[in-house]
Amino acid sequence: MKFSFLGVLLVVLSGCVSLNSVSLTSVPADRSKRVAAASERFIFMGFNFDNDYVNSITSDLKTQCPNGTVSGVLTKSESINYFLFIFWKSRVSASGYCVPGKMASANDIIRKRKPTDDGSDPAPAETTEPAVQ
Amino acid sequence: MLKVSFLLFACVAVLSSCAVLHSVQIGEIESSPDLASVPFEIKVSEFGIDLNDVKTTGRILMDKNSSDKANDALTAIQYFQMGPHTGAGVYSINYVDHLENKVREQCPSGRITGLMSIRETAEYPIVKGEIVKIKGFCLKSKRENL
Repeated sequence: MKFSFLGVLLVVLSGCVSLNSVSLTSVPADRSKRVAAASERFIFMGFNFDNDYVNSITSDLKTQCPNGTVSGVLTKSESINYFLFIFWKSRVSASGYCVPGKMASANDIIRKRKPTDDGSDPAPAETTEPAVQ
Repeated sequence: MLKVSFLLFACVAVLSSCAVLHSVQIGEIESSPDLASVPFEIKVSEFGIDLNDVKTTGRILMDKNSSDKANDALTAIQYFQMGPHTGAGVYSINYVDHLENKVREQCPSGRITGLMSIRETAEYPIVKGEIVKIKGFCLKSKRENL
């Protein structure tokens, strides 16, 4: 009797997880600093009127890597079902690697590539490398 | 009083949409104290029709004979809409074709970071809003941003 009660309790309280989507960007060679962020929402009877809770993930990752680039970003979107899809949770998590100082070259590009007035693509920056004969 | 409350509840239920998240994808995120990140958002959507909702509504509004016929016709249409998909079927998927141009319009310099692609559905009875959202940051030098 006690065993069956515990079994039912375990079934009710443990969540079944299903994966909605996964994505991964290119993974950097320098993987010394790992950063991660997640955002989730508890949903009752499917009543969810927006998905704005995912917006905070990008700024969370940005805060953790203020002077660099977050690369190798693994994004997972999952649903955790607690009870017959009456109570469930939607969770989006992202993790990656902070590569410090990668923006130095990006700043150079910004300086070289000024935007045009009409919004069209600017001409590519001039390179200092000698042309191949 | 009870009738009015029920009507209000029904109105809220019909007019409000439930947002269903299908997928999220986040790209590389760059940041530097020398550059300002200007956020931008692009949203494109298309009408989708849920044939299962149409069947259910037909069963409520029509007599049994007519609803059975409509049900058979809709089931035949559904046979041609099988396969992996997110959300309800739409009549054209061209609504996502110009996303790249729209991103370029938002950030002509091309220095885009923290690009997040969101695929979601706004669910109303029968009609669904099939949405693709692109959020990101346009990097600008702080002087340029002023």
